[in-house]
Amino acid sequence: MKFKPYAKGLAVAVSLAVMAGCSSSGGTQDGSMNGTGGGTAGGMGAGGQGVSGGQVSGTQMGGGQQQQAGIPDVRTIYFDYDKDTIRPEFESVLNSNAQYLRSHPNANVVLQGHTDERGTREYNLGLGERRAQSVERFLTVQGVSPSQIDVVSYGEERPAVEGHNEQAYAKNRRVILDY
Amino acid sequence: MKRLTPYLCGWLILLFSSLASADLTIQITKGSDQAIPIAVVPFAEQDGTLPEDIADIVSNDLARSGQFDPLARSALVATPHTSDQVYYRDWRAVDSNYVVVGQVTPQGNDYRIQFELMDVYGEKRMLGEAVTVSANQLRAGAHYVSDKVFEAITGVRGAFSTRIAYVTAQGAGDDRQFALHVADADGHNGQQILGSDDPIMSPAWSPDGKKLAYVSFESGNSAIYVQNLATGQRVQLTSFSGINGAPAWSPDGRRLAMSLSKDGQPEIYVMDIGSRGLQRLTNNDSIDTEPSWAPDGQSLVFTSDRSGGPQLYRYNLGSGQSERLTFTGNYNSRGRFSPDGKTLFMIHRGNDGFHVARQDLDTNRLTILSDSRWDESPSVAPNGSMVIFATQQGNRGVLSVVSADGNASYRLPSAQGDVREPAWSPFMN
Amino acid sequence: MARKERRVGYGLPVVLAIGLHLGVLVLSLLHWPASEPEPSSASIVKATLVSTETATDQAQRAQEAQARAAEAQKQAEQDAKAKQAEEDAQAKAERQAREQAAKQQQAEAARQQQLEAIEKARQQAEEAAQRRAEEAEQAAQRQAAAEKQRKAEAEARRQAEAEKQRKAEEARKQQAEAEKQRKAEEARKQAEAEKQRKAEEARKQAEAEKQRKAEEARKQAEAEKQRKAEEARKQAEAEKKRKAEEAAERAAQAAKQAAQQALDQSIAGEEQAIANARQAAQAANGFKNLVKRAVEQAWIIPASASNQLRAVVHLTLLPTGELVDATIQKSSGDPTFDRSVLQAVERAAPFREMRDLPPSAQRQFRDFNLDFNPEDVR
Repeated sequence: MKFKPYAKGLAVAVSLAVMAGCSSSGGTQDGSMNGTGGGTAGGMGAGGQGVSGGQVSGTQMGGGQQQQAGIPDVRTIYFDYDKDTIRPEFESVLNSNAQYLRSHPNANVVLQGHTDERGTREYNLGLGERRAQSVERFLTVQGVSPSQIDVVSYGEERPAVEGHNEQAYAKNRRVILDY
Repeated sequence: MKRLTPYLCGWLILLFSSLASADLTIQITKGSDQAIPIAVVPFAEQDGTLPEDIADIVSNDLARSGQFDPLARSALVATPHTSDQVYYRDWRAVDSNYVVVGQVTPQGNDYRIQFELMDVYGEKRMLGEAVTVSANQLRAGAHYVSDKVFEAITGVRGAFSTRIAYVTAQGAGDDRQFALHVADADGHNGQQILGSDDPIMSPAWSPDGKKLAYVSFESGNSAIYVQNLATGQRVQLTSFSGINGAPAWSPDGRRLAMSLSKDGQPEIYVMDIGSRGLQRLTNNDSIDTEPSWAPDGQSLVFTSDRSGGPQLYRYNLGSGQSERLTFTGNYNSRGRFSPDGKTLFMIHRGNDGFHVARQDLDTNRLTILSDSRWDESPSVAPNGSMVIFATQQGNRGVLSVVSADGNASYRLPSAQGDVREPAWSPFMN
Repeated sequence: MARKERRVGYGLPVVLAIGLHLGVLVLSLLHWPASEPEPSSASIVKATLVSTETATDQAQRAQEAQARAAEAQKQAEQDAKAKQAEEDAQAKAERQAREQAAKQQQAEAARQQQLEAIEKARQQAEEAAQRRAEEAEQAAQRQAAAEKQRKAEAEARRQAEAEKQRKAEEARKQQAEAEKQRKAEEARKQAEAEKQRKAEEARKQAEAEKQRKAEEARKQAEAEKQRKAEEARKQAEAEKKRKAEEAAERAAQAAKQAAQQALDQSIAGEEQAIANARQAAQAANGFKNLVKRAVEQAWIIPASASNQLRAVVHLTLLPTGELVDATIQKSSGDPTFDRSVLQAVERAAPFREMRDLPPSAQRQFRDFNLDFNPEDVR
């Protein structure tokens, strides 16, 4: 009896929920929720390629390794919202890193997985890890030995760019190859 | 007279026909949204040198609960200090349901706080007590008054003498400094218990309130530590590869649930703290994390994206079965039980952002409690009346508290940088 | 005794009319004008028994009675108006006024009829008196004639006697011729005796006749008078009766109309009463909604309350709307909830609008209950 005033609202809400749930495909969360991810992904991809190693310099400061010949300059790749798939534009980056690692079997790399700030922190640890694992799979497929690879997820704890906007988010959804 | 009779009878018939039952009964099915008006009169003190304003602390405590609307000090019609100085008529005139009066008298190095609570409309004294505290515990004494007043009026135990833990981040980039703090529930008396160059996450209070478990990246990877608050001593409980995260104390304090991805993806485990023995609860390809125990210790709620996106599930320790709990929207995570186990608080992603939400487990109705948009880490007060969580104010991370019914909220004062990851302690006694 | 009968004759329709309406006072009012015409009728009665001399008196008294009746009417009217002014309820006053007017009209009509009857009776009485007077005159004339006859006869007798004496004297003178004359005289005497005897007889007869006739005339006159009086009386009575009956009929009709009016009025009065009761019910409903709103605004539902909780509070109010007492009649089992509903009642009180309620509606709210059961909490 007490449900009656809510029955209508609940029915609408549940049907909306079902529709919303149906609209996103399983396994990945598209930018269907707010359309920001999908809409700007293309733009971000282009921007991502232009990014220099300035972002990873912070994490690798003091390391003399970057001056060794061979370590690829580009060691950061970016991801779409709620996605851990390698974007085609970054395959070359990964290829060059894979090549380096193959040719330097003693070199080790730590794949740092990161997310943007949205969502809960521990879950984002998992998302970040997924992205790093995605890169790890790519590298091992390219012949890199798994023993050279370590995976660490920082989730949203180490953003590259502060801000509550899509540009900042896009710059934070990344995996850094930390040698 | 004979002529009057037909009229009289007619009137009486009409009168009595409208009084179908012996007494008229009017149905009242709703009330007002307002908080309970209460007057907390400044406590009498001897010479005005008391370092703390007891009545002010009590007023703020009651206001923060969302259930009370304390009278502004300028609106107090009188300043009684004992119940026999209270004229109920005065307080009816300002529409105050209750009056709190008291006095503080020094006793050596201590203070004796006497307080009384009056029911204005019932015109009677409801409560009268005295408590003695040391000079540096005046705030605790005031919180004690708030607890007692709260419980006498609402029937629910007050949570004003509890504490919170939280993480701060200051600076940017590589210079970022992280710290773990504990403070009073009102944000006062903050104390840093850990400082680090590397991220700190997920503080969790032990049920006896004496220890904190947390995640720290100081070793280069996430790892779970347990630190004794009194001594500062700590133990690293885990150092598995992959994620070591989301520690959650069992109600008996002997076990810690956690999320470990050592076997490929994050799964829920339960570790016996004494023996360090591990029990694996989940086994699938999805992310399973953020476990939290039900108050009866028989089940845990956790986040899993096995359905495609993060939703809350309940794992029954007896049956080993998991059942899905949330079906509203496509992002529900970080579930926390209310102390009576009937409500689940969580982060729910709606059309306009991430909100603290409540789901009543008997109706499964989801209610959004906060109107802020970047909410994280909800933690429930031990009396179930309030939820503390992290959110954004401009570009700063701040802590916010919302009442369990969503009717009131307040921001905690914070001076240092970004504040996040709050955890509400249990009752501290 | 006759008076009372007459009073009933006039008053019955009035009483019938009154029997349907309010106002013992009006009834008493009607008594006064009704009592006025009595002297008139009494004087008329007297008039019929008295000689013509009182004819003018009758007229005077009738006029006076009329005037008095008119005065009495005016007085009655004034009194009625005064009475009206003293009445409380306008409706009653109006009704009474209407009733009074009707009654007055009836009374006036009745009175007028009475007066007309009186007039007619008086006229008839006058006529009768005139006739009687005429007859009496005639009787007197007849008596005078009889007297004349007697006198004439007496004269004749005397003359006869004188003759006799002369003749006797002549006889004595003529004793010679006496025998002849005596014989002639005897014859004459006999003849005279016969004549005397016859004359006497005739005289006696005439006298007897006269007396008889006088008596007859007297008796007849008396009888006539009585008869006429009776007739007049009967006619007057009949007239009265007829007029009274007509008046009664008219009064009855008027009474019927008045009764119809009174019925309509009583229906209207009852409708008024129903309308009043409906107004009272509306006022009560308005007050009930006011109480409900005030209490809802004042009720702070405890955060711990569920929609399973229910408490009933019994209130006692003064007619000023002030709260005398509020007690939990049925507890919710939760002291916090119970306290909240009592506070809601005490905060919402006093309900000052109680004073504006009609007394029948007010009665409902002197003692009543509030049933608290929140509907939109979880």
